[in-house]
Amino acid sequence: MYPSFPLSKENETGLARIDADLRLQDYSPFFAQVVGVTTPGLPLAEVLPVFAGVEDWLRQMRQRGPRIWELRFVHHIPPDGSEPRYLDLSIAVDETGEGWHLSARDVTAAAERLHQEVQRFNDIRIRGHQPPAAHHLMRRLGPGILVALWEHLGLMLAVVDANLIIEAVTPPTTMTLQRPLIGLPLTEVLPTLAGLEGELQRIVRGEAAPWRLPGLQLDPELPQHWDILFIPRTDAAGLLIIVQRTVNETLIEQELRQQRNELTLLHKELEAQAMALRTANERLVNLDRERRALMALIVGDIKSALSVIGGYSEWLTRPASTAIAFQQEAVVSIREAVAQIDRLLDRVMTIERLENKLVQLQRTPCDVHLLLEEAVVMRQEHARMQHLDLQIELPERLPPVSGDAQVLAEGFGRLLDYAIGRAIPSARIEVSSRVWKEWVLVEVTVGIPGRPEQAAVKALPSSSQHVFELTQVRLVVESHDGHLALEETKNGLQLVVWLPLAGEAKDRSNVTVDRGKDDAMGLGQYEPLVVAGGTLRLDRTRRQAWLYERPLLLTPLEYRLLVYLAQHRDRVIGHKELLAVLGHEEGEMSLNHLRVLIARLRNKLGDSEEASGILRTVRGVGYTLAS
Amino acid sequence: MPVIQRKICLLGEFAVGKTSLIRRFVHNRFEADYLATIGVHISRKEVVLPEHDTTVVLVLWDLSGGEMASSLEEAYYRGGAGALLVADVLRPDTVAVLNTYAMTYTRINPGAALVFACNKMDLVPDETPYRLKLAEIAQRWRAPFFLTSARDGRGVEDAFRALAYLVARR
Ligand SMILES: Nc1nc2c(ncn2[C@@H]2O[C@H](COP(=O)(O)OP(=O)(O)O)[C@@H](O)[C@H]2O)c(=O)[nH]1
Ligand SMILES: [Mg+2]
Repeated sequence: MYPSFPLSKENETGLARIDADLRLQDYSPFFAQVVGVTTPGLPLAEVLPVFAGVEDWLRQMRQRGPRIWELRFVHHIPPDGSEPRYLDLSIAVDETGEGWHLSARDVTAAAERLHQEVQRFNDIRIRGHQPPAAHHLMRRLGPGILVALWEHLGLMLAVVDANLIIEAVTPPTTMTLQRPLIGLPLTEVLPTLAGLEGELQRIVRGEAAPWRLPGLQLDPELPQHWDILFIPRTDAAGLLIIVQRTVNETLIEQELRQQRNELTLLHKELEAQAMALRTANERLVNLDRERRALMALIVGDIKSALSVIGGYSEWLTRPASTAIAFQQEAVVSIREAVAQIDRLLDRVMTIERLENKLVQLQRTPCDVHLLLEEAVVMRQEHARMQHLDLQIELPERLPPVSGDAQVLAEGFGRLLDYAIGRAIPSARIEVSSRVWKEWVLVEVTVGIPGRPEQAAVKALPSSSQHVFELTQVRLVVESHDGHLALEETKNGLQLVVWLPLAGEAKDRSNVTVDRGKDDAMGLGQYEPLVVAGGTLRLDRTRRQAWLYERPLLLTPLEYRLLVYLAQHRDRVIGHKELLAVLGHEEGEMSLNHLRVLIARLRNKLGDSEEASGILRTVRGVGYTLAS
Repeated sequence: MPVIQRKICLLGEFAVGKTSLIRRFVHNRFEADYLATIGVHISRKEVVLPEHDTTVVLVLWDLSGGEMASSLEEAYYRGGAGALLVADVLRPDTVAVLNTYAMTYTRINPGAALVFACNKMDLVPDETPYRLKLAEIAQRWRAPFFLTSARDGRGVEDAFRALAYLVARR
C-alpha cells in the first residue's frame, strides 16, 4: 500500500507509484477503487491499456519531457470486472526515484454530462443545422400535420435512402397510390424516373442542385398532374421528395420552360454548328493549299515517271545492257511509267474538265438521297473485296438540293473513293445524311466497329491520288455553294459535306419529294402506323403527325424524336442514341432535357403511363413506341 | 515470433466513422446508431505479419474528433506510432481537414506512420471522384489511402494492416 498518500473523498483521486519497469509498485486504496485493481506488481499497460505501446515515450519523458502527461476522459474497463468508467489520468516523472507517479480520478459523471451535450450538439450538426424549433413544431403538431398538408395543400412527402429505396412516405395511408410503397425502389413507384438514378444520386451527394420536375402524371387512372421536388436529406444520405398537385401556373411555367429548353438546345446546336463551320473553313484553307499543291504533286509524279523512262532508255542504248532479262524489265517499267503519266495527265484533264463543267453548272433540284444510294451501291462490291463494310444509313427523307445531279454523283463517288482508299481492311465506312437548318449534311465516317482504339485509316500516301480525289470533291461541293470538312478523329476519319437546300425547299419546307422511299421504311406519307391500339400517322414531308385522326402540335424536336422512335419501333432506343439523334452529347443537362422532351411528347400523345401507353419507358434502357 | 505493441490514433471529424471502423476491425460488427465518443476509448487487436516474422498489437485510440477542444486532443496524440485519418465520403469538408490533423499529429510524433481512409463508401455508387480527392492529400503525405466502409467492411482490414506494416518497421 501507499499509505503516505492522503485520501481525498471529494476528489476521488487515487495515487500509485510506477517502478522503472513500468509495473505498479504500490498504490493508495482509492487508486485500487478508482482503477479497479487488486494486485501490485502488475504491468502498467495491463492495468491501464492506455499506456500500452507508449512505453518508449514514457521512458523518454525523463530526458526529453514533458515531466507530466495528463489524459482526460480515458474510458476505462476495470480489470476487477466492475462497471466501465471514465478516468482523468496524469502520469508524472518521479523526480526522486526512477519511476513515475500516477494519479487517477473518476470523472464518469462529468463525462456523461459532456457526452449528452456533445451528442445533442453533434446530432444537430449532423442534421445540417436544423433549427431545434422545427423538431418542437413537428413534435407538437404530430403526424397529423402531414395529413393536413395533404388534405389542404395536396402535399406529399417521401424519403428515400442513398440507394433510392423508399424509407417513408406521407400521408401514412397511401391514399393516391393505393399500395404500400416503403421498401420499394423509387423508380419502381415512379417509372418516369427510370434512367435518372445517376442524376438523383448526384443530388444525394450534393454534386447536383435540388431538382424540380413539374407536371408529371403519377397514376395513369387519375388525370392529376404533380410537381416533384428532389432535395438532399439533411439527416442522412438520401433524398426528401416533395410531391405537390400541379396548379395551372405550373403548367404554363412548364410550357415556358419547355420552350426555353428547346431554345437552349437550338442555341447549343447553333454554337456547335458554327464551331464546325469554323473548323471546316480552316480545313478549306488547307485544302486550297492542297489544290495548288496538287498540280505540283502531279508534275512531280510525272517527272519521276519520266526519269524512270529516261534511265531505262539510257541503259538500253548502251551495248553492255543487251541481256534479254534486263531488256524485258526495261520495257515493262517504261510501259508502266507511260501508263502512269497517262493517268496523271488524265487527272489534270479531269480537274480541268470538271472546272469547265462547274462553270456552266445546270442547276435542278437533286435528290441527295438517291445520288448517295447509287454511289454507295456502285462501290459496295469493290469495298467488300477490300474487306471493308460500306454502309448507308439515311434515316430521313431529304429535301432536294439545287445542283447538277451528274456532277454531284461524281463528287459523292470521289468522296467514297477517298474513304475507301484510306480505310484499312475490316474498317467500316458509314454514309449518312440529314437535314440541319437550311443544310443537307452528308457524313462519311471511317471507323472500326467495336474497337474504338484501333486505327481505321492508313497513313496518307505520298502520291497525289488522295489530294486529287478530295480536290475533286471540294470543287464539286464548293460550286454548289457548300462546304467540305475533313475531320481526322482519334482513330478514324470523318468527311462532312454541307450542301444548301434548294431555294424552294428553304422557303416551303413542305416540298414533296419522292414518297416511294418512305414506304420502304414503313412510313409512307399517309401510311398509318398502329401503335398501342391507336393509329399514328406521320407525314414526314410536312412534319406533321396525327394520332387517332387528331393532329398533334409538335415542336421540331418532339417531331424528330417521334419519327425516330417510329422508325425503330421494333426495338428499345437508349438515352444515348436518342440524344445523338437530337444532336446532343450525353450530359446531365441533355439527359434532363430528353426527360422533359419525352414527358412533353407523352403529354401530347395523351400518354400517361409507360406500361400501357404509346411511348414506353424501358427502365434503365430507354424508350420505345408500343405497337 | 516477437510481439510488439504500437499506439495508433484514429483522427478525423466527428461522425466520420472512426468508432465504427474500430468496431468493424476489432469485433467485425457495425451499428447504424450514432453515439458520440467522449475522451478516448482504447481497443487492441493483434495483427500477425508473417513476412516480418512479427506480431503487432495495435493499441487503437478512438478519439473524439472535432468534439472537443484541440489543446486537449494533442495530449492524446503523444507517443503515437501511427494514425488512421478518416474522412466521410459524403462530407467534403471532412476530407480537407485531414491535412490539419496530419500536421498536428506528425508535429507531436515526428515520423509517425499515416494511413488515410475515406469511409462510408457504401453510400456512393461510384468511387472514382472520391478516390482522386483523397489520393491528392494522401500523396502529399506520401501515405497509402483506402476507400472503406465500416458498414460493409470493405477496405477496413486493408487499412489497418497497412498501418500495422508501417508501424512494425519503425
Ligand atoms: N453507411 C455508413 N455509415 C457509417 C459508416 N461508418 C460509420 N457510419 C455511421 O456514421 C455515424 C458516425 O459513426 P461513428 O463511428 O460514431 O463516427 P465517429 O464520430 O467518427 O466515431 C454512425 O451513425 C455510424 O453508424 C459506413 O461505413 N457506412
Ligand atoms: Mg467516435
